[in-house]
Amino acid sequence: MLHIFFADPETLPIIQDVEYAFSRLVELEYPFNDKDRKLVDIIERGELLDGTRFRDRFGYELPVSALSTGCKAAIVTNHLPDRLIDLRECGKQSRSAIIAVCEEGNVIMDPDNGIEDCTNCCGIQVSVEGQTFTDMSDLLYYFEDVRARDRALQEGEP
Amino acid sequence: MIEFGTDPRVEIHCDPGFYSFTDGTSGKTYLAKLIAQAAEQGLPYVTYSYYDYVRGVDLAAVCEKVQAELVFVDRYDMFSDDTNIQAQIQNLAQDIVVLADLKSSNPPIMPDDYLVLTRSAELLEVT
Repeated sequence: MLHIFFADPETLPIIQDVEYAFSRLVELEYPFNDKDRKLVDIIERGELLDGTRFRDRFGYELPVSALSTGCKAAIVTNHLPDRLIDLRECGKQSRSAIIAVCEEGNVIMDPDNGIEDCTNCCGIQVSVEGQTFTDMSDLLYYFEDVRARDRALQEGEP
Repeated sequence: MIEFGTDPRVEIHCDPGFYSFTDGTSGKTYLAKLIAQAAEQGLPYVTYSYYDYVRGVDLAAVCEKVQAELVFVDRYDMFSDDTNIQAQIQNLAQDIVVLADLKSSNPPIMPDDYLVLTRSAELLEVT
């Protein structure tokens, strides 16, 4: 299960600097897997070639250090499911790809920074605030509800 | 317009101000790398990232030293709550173009506009 937090539960070691965490994964030669390839495909529209290179959407072969920070956060989430990964540097596409692809792990994000459906009708395995979601459209509605709830709180409504 | 002849060539079409990029824009870090290359060749540009921030590099001082005409603030989400940096960016943006890699939808200082980055083999264009 991928656990999404809107605030730090302070029960897990947190990774805020995903660039550094990713560089450590590469240094330690963590083997990239099919989920990493899928994340690079969705986020970069590129192809992971091996542990050190990828082909970007324009066909250029680049070192994996040139992956976007969001893509690096996604790969870190995939490889370190016992940590809490801070997604503040992720764009909507990276956040959504993590939800679509990573079946376990822990992430923290701001619900105001939206998500979109990139599951291609595949299911998800996500837990948010004690609720389980297996369908991305249900999760999208839930995010809307959370935003509405937060807006109401800010405006002082009961 | 700011234009420089790296490979690919870069064109940045905007007036002085503080700008971020539309969500999903790819190539921001690549743009930062090209701006850094141009700076190494002596152009009055500055790139400033999270690691500069952690090391205590003074953004305003660096910009003043080179009389910067263009600044790229990379990974700004990591230190966007620093009021000193916010003030420096707002001050710089009165006179020069300040670009930022910024993902938050509610940043402490809102960009004047969100830019789009397009890329071909010969040209990387920011509009």
